[in-house]
Amino acid sequence: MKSPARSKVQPLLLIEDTPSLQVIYRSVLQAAGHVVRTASTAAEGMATFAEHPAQVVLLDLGLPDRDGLELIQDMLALRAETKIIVITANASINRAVEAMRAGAHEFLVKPFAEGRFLSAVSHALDSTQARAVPVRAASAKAERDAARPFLGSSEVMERIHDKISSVAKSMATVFITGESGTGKELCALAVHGNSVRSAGPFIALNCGAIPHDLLESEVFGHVKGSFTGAISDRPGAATAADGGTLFLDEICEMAPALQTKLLRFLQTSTVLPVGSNKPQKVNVRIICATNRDPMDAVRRGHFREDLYYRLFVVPIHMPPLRDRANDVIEIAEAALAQFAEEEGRLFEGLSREVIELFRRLPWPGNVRQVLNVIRNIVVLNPGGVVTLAMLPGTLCDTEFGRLPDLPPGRAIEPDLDSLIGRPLAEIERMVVNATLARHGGSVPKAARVLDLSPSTLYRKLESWGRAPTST
Amino acid sequence: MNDSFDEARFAALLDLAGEDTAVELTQRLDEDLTNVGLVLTKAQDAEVLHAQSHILLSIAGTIGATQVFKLAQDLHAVTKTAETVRMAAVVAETRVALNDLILRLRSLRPGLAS
Repeated sequence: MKSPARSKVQPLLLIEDTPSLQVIYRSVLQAAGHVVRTASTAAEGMATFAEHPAQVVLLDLGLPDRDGLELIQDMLALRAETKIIVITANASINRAVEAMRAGAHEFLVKPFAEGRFLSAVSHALDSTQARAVPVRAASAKAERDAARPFLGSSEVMERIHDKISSVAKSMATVFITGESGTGKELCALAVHGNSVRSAGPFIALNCGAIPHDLLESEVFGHVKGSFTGAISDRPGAATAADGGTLFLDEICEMAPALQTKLLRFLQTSTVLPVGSNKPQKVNVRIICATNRDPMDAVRRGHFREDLYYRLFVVPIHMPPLRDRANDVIEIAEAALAQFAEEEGRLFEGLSREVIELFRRLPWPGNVRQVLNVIRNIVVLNPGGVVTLAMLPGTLCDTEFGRLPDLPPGRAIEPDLDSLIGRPLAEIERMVVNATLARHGGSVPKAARVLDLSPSTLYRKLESWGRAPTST
Repeated sequence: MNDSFDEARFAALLDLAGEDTAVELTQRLDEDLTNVGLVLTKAQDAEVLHAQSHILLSIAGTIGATQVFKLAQDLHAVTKTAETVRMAAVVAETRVALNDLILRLRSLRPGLAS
């Protein structure tokens, strides 16, 4: 049998408590050229893993001393890149879902054929090889190619692709707007990937997801002792992006004080870490994004006008998926191919019924929602043609009620008549209040549904003079 | 191959393991299957028997012990129900087939005439 050089670099770890099965699995792997370390208990397995972190672990879930799911989490906490193949005689769907949620790469039900076993190992090793290349250091072509299928190629998106190609070659700041999930970060990645800085880092920072008092440190870094918890010097995102691109997502959520510092940074190209008095020169291209109307944020006094004009050099608006014709099918098919490869499954495309349904759905979560639906399908189904039965149950009957029987080709839309004529800000407030009411006043739950960070939602409520009823 | 045991499948496994490991494999199989047999003799708790069905399914399915594999499937199914009478019958049948399998495997140990 062939002798895969990759596994000789680092042995596989096999954790199986039934001695005869351990011998058999070990023999199969060794005969295929793999080097194998073995353990019979969770404790022994964890100790071996801690000493020799393996790229691929084959883990029996039914260990005598500990639940295998906990072990998965502990191993991934120690080495996130490790691929864990779960092997179990418990073939329940619940167990498989639990294992995948815990971070397992693959789920094999005993008994399995040697070919299937070796194929899972081979695929896991391939995945670790692919992941070993830092995403931020990936080649321009790889980033461009990776991003493009998920952006689509409708007429409107072709114009955006052209704009990306043109702007990428300059140093101009790009300001990307669009609803949540429309692919703003993919667009930013494409700009970076097409630019002469593509060999440099691409550092993304979500300004709305980081607490205000930590954001300055995250962007500009800090020196040891500058505040409680600053136990060592730490470079910020701006320094980490030196020679590359700094992507500031949810830029309109940035606190006013930090906006001033960002403006100074843009004017001087120097960063001043928190607690330091030594400015550092950095060479960074800025791309920023927001799902809000930035001019509206300026009018409301939430965003500095001078910063707006400094950043709003080349605007790119990512249209919602519902306005992009056939992109949903193209994106779904590209995602199906990529995710199936990642998960080691063989899918043959979307059935006609699924294609028709996908065209009719409004996709309020845009590209991100499509990718999540496809990931769900790939993880929970063995393969074949994607049918309606494989779709997540919540796809058709969540936010818009059950899918009505519509004539083919007619899109579903929420009742918009009652909203037309109202200011956008008022509509936003209505939607936020309705979402909060539906989730018992829970800000975290409402934020999750609205695809916002809780801190963003808290700030919105604060600005409206409304205190949340509960958290 | 006969209906209860795929001898070619088992021979291929021994071949794959190599001479030294094949000896270890047959010893481990003997121990594991004997342990399952002992639990089936003593235990009446459905949860314990269910756990044994997992081990038996895995081993029997892997080595080509077709009859024991089918009985392990029955055991797996019946231990999820409250049918104690049927469970006792399946346990008894599995024990007999398991005993036959152990004897069969002993006769096939490397170094012995098969």
